[in-house]
Amino acid sequence: MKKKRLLVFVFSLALTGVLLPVSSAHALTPELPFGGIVSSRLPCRCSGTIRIRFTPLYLGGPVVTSGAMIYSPFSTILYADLNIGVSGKWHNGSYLPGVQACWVLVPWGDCLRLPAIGLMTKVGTN
Amino acid sequence: MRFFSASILLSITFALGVLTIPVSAETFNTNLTTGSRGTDVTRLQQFLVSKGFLEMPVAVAYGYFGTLTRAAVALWQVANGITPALGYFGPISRQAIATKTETVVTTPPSSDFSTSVENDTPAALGMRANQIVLFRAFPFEARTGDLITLDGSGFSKTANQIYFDESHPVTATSTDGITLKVPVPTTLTNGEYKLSVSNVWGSSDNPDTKVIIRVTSNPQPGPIIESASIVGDTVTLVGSGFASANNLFTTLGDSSSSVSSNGTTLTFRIADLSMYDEVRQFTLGKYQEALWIYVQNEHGVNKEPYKLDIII
Repeated sequence: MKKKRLLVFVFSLALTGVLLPVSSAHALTPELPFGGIVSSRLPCRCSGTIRIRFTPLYLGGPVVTSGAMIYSPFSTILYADLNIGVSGKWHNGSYLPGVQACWVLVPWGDCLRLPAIGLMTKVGTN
Repeated sequence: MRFFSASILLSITFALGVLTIPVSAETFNTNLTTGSRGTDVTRLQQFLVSKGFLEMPVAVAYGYFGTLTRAAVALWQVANGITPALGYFGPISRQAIATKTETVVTTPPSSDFSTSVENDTPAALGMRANQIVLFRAFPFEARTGDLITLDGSGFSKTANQIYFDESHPVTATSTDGITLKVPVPTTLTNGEYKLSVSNVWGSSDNPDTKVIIRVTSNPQPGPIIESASIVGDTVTLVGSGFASANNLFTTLGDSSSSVSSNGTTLTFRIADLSMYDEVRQFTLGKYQEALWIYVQNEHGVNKEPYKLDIII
């Protein structure tokens, strides 16, 4: 009798789970680490973001490169010392590879997308 | 047996109870829109706040129907299947709010790095949310009836109005919030038209930008870069659609003067690009990086930038 009640209870729980709405899982793009020294910055006036070039740029592997990342005041979390995009300052943090978020205003009036290595998710500076 | 039946019945009742929550009916006797004031607006705002569609800033008093309230009404309309979801609280919305059993929003708007798939007007990753922006239209030259693609952010999945020189409106929906495919109205005559897009977030109109297309019965394709090479500091582009005078726009800046071409080949020196010296002083010729290239001329710009690996 007890076993039967237990089975019924488990079955009821399973039925509840089937009927309840399932929240869709958002697959999160993995964040990767980066670090580097700022060499220049370019305001992306159309998107309100900043394209920051680093020389050198460390992406966690053996190769040291030079390249740009996008800082977004709408989504990047900024930590001390808040010297974002200041030439000569170290920046360390994480980024979403391949996410393009820089549209620049061009002389003929519209906007063009300037690719970068990725979008910073968190960054701290010296 | 009785225990079994009771358990099943309880499970079903519980699940259904979570799915739909009947709400007390609200009645409104007047239509409300941007600029409306008064107790009806306050009640509407309180209703939207209670359902999770509106968050009133601390310093803002209730009772004025502004852009925040309009946007919240539009989101409520989307959630309740009311079209067009433009944020106007009219007879259809008033009827719906008075009679419907509604879906209660249990998840606050996402502000993380995933695209807000629940939102009708998702912003592109890294861009400001709750704002409509228009970046460009492609191709630059098109016939009436042709499809053009608009790139931007904050496009609605249910209702956008696209204007050509502030008239000839076309309605279109976006699948991802960042692109719109729009047919060029057949009522347009040949000429250049400034584009703008409107939806619940307002208009993309911006005094700093000018997104233009040229309507013509004989559209010419813009530049297409098929290959590129570099020898020393001279870059050679091979493709089509290059004009006698072209402008370059790259990740090392733009060309200081126009660059000539025979139509299929275009050459330039990277040292002539406006940001070359600024970047080179740091890199000292020791780094490989990607040079992204756009070519612009009278017939438009290449759709996607061309990537050339260089040593700088």
